[in-house]
Amino acid sequence: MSAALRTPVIAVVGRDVPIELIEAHGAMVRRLELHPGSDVAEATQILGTGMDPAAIAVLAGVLETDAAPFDAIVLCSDSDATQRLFYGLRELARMKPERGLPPIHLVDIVHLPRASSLEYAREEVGLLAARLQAWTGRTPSAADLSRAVRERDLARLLLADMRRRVDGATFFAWRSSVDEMPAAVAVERLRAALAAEPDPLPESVPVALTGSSQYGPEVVAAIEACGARVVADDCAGGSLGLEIGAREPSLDGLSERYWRDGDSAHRGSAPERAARLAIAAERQGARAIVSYARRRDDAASWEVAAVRSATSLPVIVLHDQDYGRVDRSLLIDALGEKGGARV
Amino acid sequence: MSDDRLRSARDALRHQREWFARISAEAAAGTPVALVNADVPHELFRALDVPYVVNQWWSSVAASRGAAQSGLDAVARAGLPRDSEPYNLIGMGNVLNGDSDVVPGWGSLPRPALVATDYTGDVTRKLFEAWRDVVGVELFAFESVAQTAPVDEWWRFIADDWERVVGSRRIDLMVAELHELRAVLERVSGRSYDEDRLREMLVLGNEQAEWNRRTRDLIASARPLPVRVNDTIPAVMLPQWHRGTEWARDAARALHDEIAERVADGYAVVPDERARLMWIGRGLWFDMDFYRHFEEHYGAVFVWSMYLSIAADGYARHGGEPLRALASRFIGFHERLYVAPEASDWYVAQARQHGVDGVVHLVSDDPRGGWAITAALERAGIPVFVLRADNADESTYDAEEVRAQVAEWLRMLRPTGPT
Repeated sequence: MSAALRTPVIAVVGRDVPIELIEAHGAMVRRLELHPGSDVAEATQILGTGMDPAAIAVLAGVLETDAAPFDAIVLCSDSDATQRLFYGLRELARMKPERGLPPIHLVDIVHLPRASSLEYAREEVGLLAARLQAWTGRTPSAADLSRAVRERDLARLLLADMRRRVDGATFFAWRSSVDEMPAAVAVERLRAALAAEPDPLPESVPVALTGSSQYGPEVVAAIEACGARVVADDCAGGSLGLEIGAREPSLDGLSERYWRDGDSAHRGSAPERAARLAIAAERQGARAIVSYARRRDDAASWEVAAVRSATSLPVIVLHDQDYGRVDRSLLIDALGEKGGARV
Repeated sequence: MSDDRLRSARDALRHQREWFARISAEAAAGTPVALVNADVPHELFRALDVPYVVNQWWSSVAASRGAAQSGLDAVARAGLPRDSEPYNLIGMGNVLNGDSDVVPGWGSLPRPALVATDYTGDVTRKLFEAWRDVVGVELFAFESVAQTAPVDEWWRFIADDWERVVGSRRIDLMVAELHELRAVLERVSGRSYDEDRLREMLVLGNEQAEWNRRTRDLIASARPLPVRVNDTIPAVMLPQWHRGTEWARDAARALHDEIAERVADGYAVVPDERARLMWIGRGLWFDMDFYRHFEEHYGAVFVWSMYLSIAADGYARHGGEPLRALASRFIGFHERLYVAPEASDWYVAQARQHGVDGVVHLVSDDPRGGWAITAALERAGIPVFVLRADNADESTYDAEEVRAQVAEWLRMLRPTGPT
């Protein structure tokens, strides 16, 4: 069945892919991921061992499963690992056509606060729109685009409200699933959830989380199983950027939104991020800050000093962690010592 | 077999020492000095009379004279990770230590007034932001944008057709950034930008690249090999840091002429040359005897390293507006060295031009395009030995074991050759 007759599915990797543009083209968004424990040998050979294992896991997922259901895979430059994953997939598609990989596209959003960077980001979003039109056979009207942008902005704001009502694992589960829902459905479900009586929050040490991206609840759940409750975060895949909306619901407005939303551990300024995290942590009553980084994901290690300077809260460093894992004994000890936890 | 080093390499080193002594004196007298990464457009600094030190060059000097650890210790004391790209961190640590961090034979790295880099990767960005936020030095950053439509055989077209090969959108972006840098440099130096001066520097840079191309072609066609890669690396790279000067152009010509003399004289690195090898990857700095070991014991010569060949193919840009030409010189360097298919196709073409029997491919524990490059060479019928090591970390490197493995591979490569 051609993409024009069914709902096209676009796989995405990273936080700089404007998913509302995909939705405006009538396509569904699927975030590529892999559950820890899968075979990563071939992906490791292709990408090398010196890379954030999350990206290796994504490639392993593409290799392990049939990628044919996707009409395209769109990646971005939100981190070195995502960009290198693009290069790896592009070369794999070129050299091994028998794999049947769908079209691979990089939307290269840049973030420096200059007019030239904004212009480049605008062109990149325009190029993505042209590719989406080719893949889906659909040209969204201005109203389609406006609706997709506004609804996605609203879904993000409702997620920010949800952040204050639930434990960390629940929030990250919402966060990852909302990206894959049509925005209107997400808004409806989030409103219903927010209207319900909130579940009581567990008695545990409130912490703020920083560091590696978290596209899913697994790591946060593991952290919370050690006696913490993640009440704030500045992680890609988490709270980061939820309150940044498009100033106008157009292609230009969308480009400008994604250009501004570059404050991740990999692309943002350490002291600026640390200052914002410290404020969020203190507002939410965190008693400690947890800096969590996967092995070979070095950006977080450059932010620890800035975080320590920005806050009087204790900083618990959980770095060099295996993909999907948390050093439980280290965290439990640190929470007991620094967070006053009874665990 | 002779131990004679190239005159050109010795002369380049002497010039570098004199230049650094002069720049240090100027800095002490109050002249603002910049510290720049290797892949930013140095020529604009030179055009505005802002002296600059190349970060990676300084790291190599400090590391080779035992001043790396003191620098990295200072970085750690500042609360920053000393083991995240340590090679690019040494200068920052040396400056944090101030005048106490003296590199024997060279002196101290002057505290820069300005640092500049492009934002490749995650750590380079953080590292240079630490120059700004921890050391307190002004930072100028360029975006680093990706090539999504690779051009076949870029090396054949880039010198003249650079607008197409590099891409107008990327050039537009960097030209806008160069205008911003120009304003910064005018403020720092008190000088005004002179486009004619930059144009002259680009011409000199093109002439330097042309001499490097002739040198590379000469080595590729010479039998036996007339010069070691250990010798060509400093003789090419030190003049690179002075691109746009008559000295650098003349140094490239002198290197060519000296090697041409050797070819005419029938000079051979190994008279009984039995295998021609290509070295892909950064230099194995802590085991430079590696190359000589295989010359002496196996008659195997390394005829190629990226340092001369990228100088030959990567820099020339003819015609056009000076700032656009300059931007096109630096955009995508990383892709042409490390990202398939640009890099892998180039390595295959270079292997064929040099008539190599095999390739030793240094694959570090970092995310460069090792897999695709090895696969492309093997598809082209060129045997590859993958040497897994980090050229900046010898802690896990077992020289004897590595040499034994390469020797075994050589035996398979040339069963009637080295024994």
